[in-house]
Amino acid sequence: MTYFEALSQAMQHMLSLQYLGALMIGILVGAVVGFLPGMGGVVGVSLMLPFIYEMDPYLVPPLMMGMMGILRTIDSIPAVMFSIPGTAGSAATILDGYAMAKKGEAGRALGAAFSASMIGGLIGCFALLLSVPLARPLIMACGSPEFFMLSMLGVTMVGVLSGRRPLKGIAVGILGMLLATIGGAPGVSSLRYTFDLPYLYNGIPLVIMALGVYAIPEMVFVVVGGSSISNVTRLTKGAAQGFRDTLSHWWLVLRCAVIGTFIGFVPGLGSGPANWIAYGHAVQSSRDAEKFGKGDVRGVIAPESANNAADGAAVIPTLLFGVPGSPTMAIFIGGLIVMGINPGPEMVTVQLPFVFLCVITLAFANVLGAVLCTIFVKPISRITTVPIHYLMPFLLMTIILAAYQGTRHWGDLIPLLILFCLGWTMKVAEWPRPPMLIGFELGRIAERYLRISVVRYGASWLLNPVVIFIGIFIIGSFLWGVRKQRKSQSMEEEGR
Amino acid sequence: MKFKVRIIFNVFLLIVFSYAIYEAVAKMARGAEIFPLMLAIPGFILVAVQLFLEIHSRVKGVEMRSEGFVDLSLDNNASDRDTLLISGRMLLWILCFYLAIYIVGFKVAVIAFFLLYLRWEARGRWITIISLTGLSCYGIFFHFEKFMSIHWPDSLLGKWVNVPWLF
Repeated sequence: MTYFEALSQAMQHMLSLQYLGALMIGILVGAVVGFLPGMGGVVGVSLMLPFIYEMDPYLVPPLMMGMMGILRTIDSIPAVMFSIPGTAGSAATILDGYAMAKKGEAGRALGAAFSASMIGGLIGCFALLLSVPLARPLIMACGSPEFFMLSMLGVTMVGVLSGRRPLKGIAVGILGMLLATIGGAPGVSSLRYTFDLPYLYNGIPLVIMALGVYAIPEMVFVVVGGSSISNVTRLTKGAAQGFRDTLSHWWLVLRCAVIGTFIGFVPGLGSGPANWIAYGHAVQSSRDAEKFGKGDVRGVIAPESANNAADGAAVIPTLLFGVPGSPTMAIFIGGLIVMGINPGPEMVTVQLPFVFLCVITLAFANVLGAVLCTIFVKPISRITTVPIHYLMPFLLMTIILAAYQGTRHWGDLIPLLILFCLGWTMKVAEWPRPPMLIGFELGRIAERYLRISVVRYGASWLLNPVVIFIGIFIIGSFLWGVRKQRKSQSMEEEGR
Repeated sequence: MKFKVRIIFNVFLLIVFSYAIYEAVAKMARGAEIFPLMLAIPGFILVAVQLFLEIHSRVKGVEMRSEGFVDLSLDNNASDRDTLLISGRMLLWILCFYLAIYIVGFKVAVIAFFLLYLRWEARGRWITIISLTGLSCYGIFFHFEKFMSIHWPDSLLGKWVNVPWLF
């Protein structure tokens, strides 16, 4: 079957009424799941899984991809409005998006987020379309040692880029990775740091970490401020300005979408690390980096372009090699196998129309999602002017519900409280929290790849040229960070 | 307050990393300790260096400014005392909410929390309080429980009073 034949078959499926119905259901579920903090794609795909068993396999892409397409667009709403990441993929958006909302620019931040998400998503889909013949040799060239080093690079980069004190950034990045080691050790029958508490045997869920360290402390600090989320009563600059911002920073959008695409390729990473690394890149590559974190629209555009692109790219290892690109994709694979579609080499031969249907649907859902979100941006933005005391009970209820989704265990609520205390202290003590989150997310992945590398290659993987190259890059980043800290310290001493 | 909090947090991190090293060496099975040790040792060193720098700067009379651009900035004008008091009060509200969930179950706890919080903290009018509480009831009874299939564990009261839709 040629590419064009497969493409035309995919288009024929798209013209049916059932396709459009399934797409709308997917988008609706994605909108609900994306708006509710902490739920994310895993919950969304899990919710749909029971319904797809008896379905025509060609109705699954609109249902699943429709959901995934809008998820990363709509999840920026709670991130911008309440500093609660809708999913892990929008955590970095909080830094500048929420700061913009506080300045009364929620509409502009959301407009920028939606448009950047849409363009990033389209770039990811385009990469997916192009990569069908190219991806196989690229992914096969990388093994567990390279993936391990990439994970370590991610933590180092975010740590180094965390302000005037990179040592603090790296230290909390390491703390995050250490917290990720709580629970069972991979490949070894041993429990670590569990204090004999059964709840900790499976480790702390990421959602608890994000809500505890970020969401509750931010909510409390808004209450301390005593007004509404937005410090101004009149909202300035709407979604149209955000769209213009995205277009004027097209080069940043493109770069971050490419970063997201590459990270999405790497099995197991997904949009979580992609948005942080893109944010770090935006900070690093700007001449006025001190504006970030204080409501710079580039801090919204960069992570939002990357997370949607990563989602599109994560479909590549999932469909072509049966290696899930993200946790959401892991469940998606399960659904495909149930329906008799085996991800792997046959996806580029007999199942090629199915692959194209997935890609086009994802692109279509991205555009549709951005349009729907933009229509409702104005009323949503007004929420930021409501006094915080009226929002607090809703936020706390939602956070506790989202936290309880972690493992549906009473235990979820205890670490939430402990992590709130940790996040609050870090904020007061001026220790950056993002490196801890990214460290936590990458910790398990890094350890798994390290374990595979050691078991499979012994110590010889350390001599792999790619590993050496990334290792030099990590050391270079660290030394650059140390130099930066020394420089900033001597400047403070001079200005004493 | 910031200097004190910074020192306390540094010491706390040193204790965490020390314990991580201790447990990795003393309690973990062979092979399980590699990654934690790989992290905890450099983590301990970095935090120790940071602690030294904090104290060194203080001795020299230099204020260490570490406001970062990769985190949200503290931009309210509340005094340290107010920050502590209000944060403590919020912590107390959360603890009371937890306690209420444990005793009367999530649904009743949410209703009680909304009524009490909106009356005491927000000082809202009863019409607003009742409307917002009603909205939350709609959310938990019809949206979360039915649509999202969220079920809460049995509450203390639920074990004695057999009204499953409420407790």
